[in-house]
Amino acid sequence: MTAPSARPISTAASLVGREYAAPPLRIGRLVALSIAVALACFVSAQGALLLFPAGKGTAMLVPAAGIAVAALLLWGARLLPAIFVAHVLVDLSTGLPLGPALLSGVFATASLASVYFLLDQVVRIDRALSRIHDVVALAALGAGTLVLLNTVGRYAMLALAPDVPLPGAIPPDSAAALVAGVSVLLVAPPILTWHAPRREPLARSQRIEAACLAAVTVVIGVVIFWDYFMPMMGYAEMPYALFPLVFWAALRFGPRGVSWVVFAAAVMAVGFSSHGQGPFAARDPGEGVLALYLFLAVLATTGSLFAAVFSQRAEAGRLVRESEQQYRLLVESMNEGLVMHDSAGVMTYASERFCELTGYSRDELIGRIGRELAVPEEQAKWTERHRLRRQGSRESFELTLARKGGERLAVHVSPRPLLDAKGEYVGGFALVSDITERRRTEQALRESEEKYRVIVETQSDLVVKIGRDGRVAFVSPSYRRMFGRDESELLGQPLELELHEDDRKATAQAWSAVWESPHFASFENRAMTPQGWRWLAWTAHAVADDKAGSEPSSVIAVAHDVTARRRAEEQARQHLQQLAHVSRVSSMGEMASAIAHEINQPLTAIANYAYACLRLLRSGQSKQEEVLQAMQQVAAEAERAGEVMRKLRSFVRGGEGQLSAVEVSFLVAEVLRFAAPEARQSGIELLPAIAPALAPVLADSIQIQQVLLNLVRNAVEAINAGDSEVREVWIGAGRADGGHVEITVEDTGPGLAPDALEKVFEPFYTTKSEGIGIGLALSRSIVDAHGGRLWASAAPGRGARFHLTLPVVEERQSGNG
Amino acid sequence: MAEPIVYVVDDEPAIRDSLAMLLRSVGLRARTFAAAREFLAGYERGVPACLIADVRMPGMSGLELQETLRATDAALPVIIITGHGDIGMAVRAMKSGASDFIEKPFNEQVLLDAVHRALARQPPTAAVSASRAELEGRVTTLTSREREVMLLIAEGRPNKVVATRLGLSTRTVEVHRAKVMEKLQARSLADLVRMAIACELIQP
Repeated sequence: MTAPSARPISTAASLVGREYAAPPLRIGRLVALSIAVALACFVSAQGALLLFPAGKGTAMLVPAAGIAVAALLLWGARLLPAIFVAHVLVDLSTGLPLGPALLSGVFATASLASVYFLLDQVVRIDRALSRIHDVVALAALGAGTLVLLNTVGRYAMLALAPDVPLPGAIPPDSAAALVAGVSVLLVAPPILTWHAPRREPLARSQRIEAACLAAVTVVIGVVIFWDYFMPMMGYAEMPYALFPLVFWAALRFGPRGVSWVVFAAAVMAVGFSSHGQGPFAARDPGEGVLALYLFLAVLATTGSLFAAVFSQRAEAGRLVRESEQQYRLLVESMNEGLVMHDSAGVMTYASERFCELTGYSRDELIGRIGRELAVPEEQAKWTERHRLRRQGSRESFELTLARKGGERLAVHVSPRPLLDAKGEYVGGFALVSDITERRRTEQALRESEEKYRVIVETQSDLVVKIGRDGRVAFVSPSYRRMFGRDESELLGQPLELELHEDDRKATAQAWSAVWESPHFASFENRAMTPQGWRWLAWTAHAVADDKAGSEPSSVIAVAHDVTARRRAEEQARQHLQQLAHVSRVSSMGEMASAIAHEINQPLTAIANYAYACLRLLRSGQSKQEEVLQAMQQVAAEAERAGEVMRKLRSFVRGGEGQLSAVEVSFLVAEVLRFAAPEARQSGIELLPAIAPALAPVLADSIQIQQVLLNLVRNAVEAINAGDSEVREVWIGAGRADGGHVEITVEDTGPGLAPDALEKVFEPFYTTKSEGIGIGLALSRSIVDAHGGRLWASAAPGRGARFHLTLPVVEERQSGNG
Repeated sequence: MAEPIVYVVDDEPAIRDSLAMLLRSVGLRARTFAAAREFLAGYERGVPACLIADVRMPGMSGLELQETLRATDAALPVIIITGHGDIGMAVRAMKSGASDFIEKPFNEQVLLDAVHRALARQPPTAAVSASRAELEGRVTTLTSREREVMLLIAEGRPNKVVATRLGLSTRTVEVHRAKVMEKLQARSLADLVRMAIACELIQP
C-alpha cells in the first residue's frame, strides 16, 4: 500500500482572475479567422434583418456587435480590420453610400476597439465570466460604453449632417442607441463561455437535465411571446417567468448555461416581438422595443451575476475542500500527533496519530482538558506550560502522558499558540511525538558512553584512536600520562612516538597491515617516555565508525606497558645463562676424565720424545736433526698441554668477575635450588641456617655460587662416600670479624684427616677417584680474589666443614662490636 | 729370523710419532697406523711382531681391534694403552687375551719391557711367571678384606666404587690396595689382573 500522493493544492488563481493571452496565430489562420469573423458578422446582420425586421431596413437585434466583442476578447486586436470590413459591408448592404458607410465603419470599429481595450487591458476580464467582477465589467464597460458612444455618435451625426441617413437606419432615439449594447450582453456571453475551458464533461444526467432546461425554455418562450397563447397568458408580466429558468441554468450549469438560456430567450423574445407578437409588441412600438431591450439586459445581467456568484462560491468551496483534504492528509500522515485546543486548553481536534499515542478515541479526547492527559505529577508542568503558551510561547517541552491503560509515555510537545486579529489568545495546537525510544536510546547511549569512558579513563592501558589520515582522534588519560603530553598537543596530529631503532620497521609494518583484512595487528615495541624506554605491547583494531561491514575509518590501538614483564624475561634469560654456566661448572667432575685425556695426550707424547732423545743422546749415535725435531715436538706438545689448561681455566671461570652487592640469603637460596635435586636423589637433606639482617656482601654472584655449589656437591659426595646414617648438609651464614660474612658448609660424611685439611686446596689433590683436584683450588683462588678466605676444618663429630668469608659492602653495622 | 716389527695404532699423531721414535731409539722397527682398519689392511702376517693400540679411537676401538685379531691372528700379542679412567676397559682387554696394558702417561721402561715380553712371547712379568702354586700361596697371605678389595680392583673398579661396595672409606680402600699390591708382589694393576686370572680368581 502506498501513501496517498500529495495532490497539488490549487492556488486561488481562479478567484483573483486569470491572465488571458490570445493564442498565437499564423498569418494563414489569421486571414481565415478574419474572414470567418467578418462573414459571421455580415451573415448574422443579414439574418437579423431578415428574422428581426424593425422596419425601414433595420433589425431589432444586431448580433454583429456581440460577435465582434467576443472575437476581439478571444483573439485580440488583430481582428479589428475584419470587423471594420464587415461593418462597412453591412452598412453598404443597407443602402448606405460608401462615404458614410466608411465613416460609420471607422466609428463602430473605434468603439469596439475602445471597449476591447477597457475590458482586456483595464479590467482584465475573465473570458469565462465566472466572477461577478467580469459580469459587471461586461455590462458596464462593454455594453454601457457602446451605448454611450452610439448615443453620442448619433447626436453628433444629426447635428453635423442631418440629411445623411444614419447607419442601420435606426431612429436616433434611446432604443436605437441600445441595440449594440444589448447585442454585447446577449451574444458575446454564449461565444465567450463556449470557448472557456470546461472543467469536466457533463454527466449523462446533466445532459438530460440540460435538454430539459432547453425544452422548458423553448416552451415557456413560445407561450410567453406567441400571441397564439395570448388569450390564456396575455399578461405583460409573463416574461418574468423566464427568471426561474435563468436561475436554474445559473445553479446547475453556471455562466455557460445562463448565457445560452438568455440567448435562446432573447432570440424568441426579439423574434416574436419583431413580428408583432407577444407582450412587448402589444405596446407602443418605440416603448415596446425599449422595454424589450431593458428586459433582456436585466435578464442577462441578473442571470450572469447569479451564475457568477454560484460559480465563485462553488469554486471557493471546492478549493477549501481540496485544501482541507490536503491538510487533513498531511496531519494524519504525520508521525507527530496533532491536537488543537481552545484558549482554556480544551481539546477541539485530535489527529489519528494523537489518538494512537494517548490510547483514547477522538470522541473521548475532544472536550477534555489537555492537562488530564499528563501524569499526575506533571499536570502542574502542563498548567505552567499552558500559561506560557497564553503569552505566545512556542517553546517545546517534554511531558509524560498517562495513556488510557495507565501506561506512561514520554512525549515531546511543540506548541503553537493561535492569536486572533486583536492579539488575543484563542487557543492553539500542538505537535506531540513519542520519544520513549529516543529516551531509551539516549539513556543506553549515556550509560554505554559512561561505561566506556570509565573503562578507558581509569585503565592503565594506553588507548589511542587514529583516523584514516593518520591523525590522532583520541588519546586516553593514561596515554597522556605515560608520554607527559597534553591532549591539545596530541589531538589532530600524526601519532609521533620515538621508537627504539630495532622496533621501527616492524611497527610501521603492523600499522599499515591493520588497515587490511582482518584488521587486526599485535606487536611490541619500545617507546621513549619521560621515564625512559618502555616496552609496550600493542593490539590494534581497525574499526568502522558507522556500520559493520563498511570500510574501516579509524584504528583503535591499545598498548599495555610490559616493561616489567620484558625485564623479568630478560632477567630470566640472563639467569638461564647463568644457570647453564653454573651447570657447566657443576659438571666439572664429569668433564674431568675428558680433560685428563686431553692433558694426557701431550704429556704422553712429551714423555716419549724425551725418553727417545735421552736414549739417542746416551747411545752417542744421535743424529742432531732427529733430536732437534723431537725437541720441537716436545715444546709443541707442552704448549698444547698449556693450552688445554688455559681453556679449562676460562671454561670454569666464565670470564672476569663483576663485583656487586649481593644478599647472602640470595646466594644460598640459589645454590640450594641447584643442588637440591642431586641431594634429594641421594636422600640427603640440605639445611640452611642464615642469620637475619646480614649485610650484603661484595661479590661476583656467579663465581661465589660456583664456589658454594662446589662445596655443597663435595659435601653430598662425601656423605655418599661414607656410611653415616645421618645424611645432612648444613649451610650456615652469619657475621664474622673484620667486616666479613662467613658461610659454612658442613657435611656428615667421613670427614677429612687433619693433614688433608690444607691439602684439599692444593691443585690436583683429590680424594675422589674421578676428581682431578681442581675444584677447591679454584674455589680458593676465587675467594681470595674477593678478599675473603676459604678453609676447611673438622666438624665436631664426623664430617668436614668448609668456611667461606666474604667482605660486606658497607661498614659493619653497630652492635656487633 | 726376520727382524720383529712393532706396530703402533693410535689416532693421535703426536703419540704415534713419539712412540715410533722411542721404539726406534732402542733399535726396534716401528710401523704406525692412524686407525685400526688401516692396520688390519696393511700389517704383515707371519713376521714376528707385536701391536700397541690405543683403547679409545674413532671407528674401531682398541678393544674391538684386539678381539678381531684374537679371532684371526691369535699369534699377535697386543698391548693396550689406556688413558685416565679407562681401567675397566683395560681389564676387559686383559681378560680377553691382551698381553698387557699400559696407562698414559707411561714410563718408557714399562712400555719397552712390555714390548720385549710381547715379542718374546713370554709371560708378562717375572712375578707372574711364578708358578701358580706360588701365586696362590701369596694370595692366601691376604686378609679377607684385602682379598675382597683385590677382586674388585682386578675387575677394574675404581677405589671409590670399591669403598662404596664394601662400605669403607676411600682412604681405607687405598690402604688395603697398597697392602694387596705389596703382598702379591704386583708392580701394576695389569700384573694384579694377570695374577687374578692365573689363579682363576676372576674369569677371563
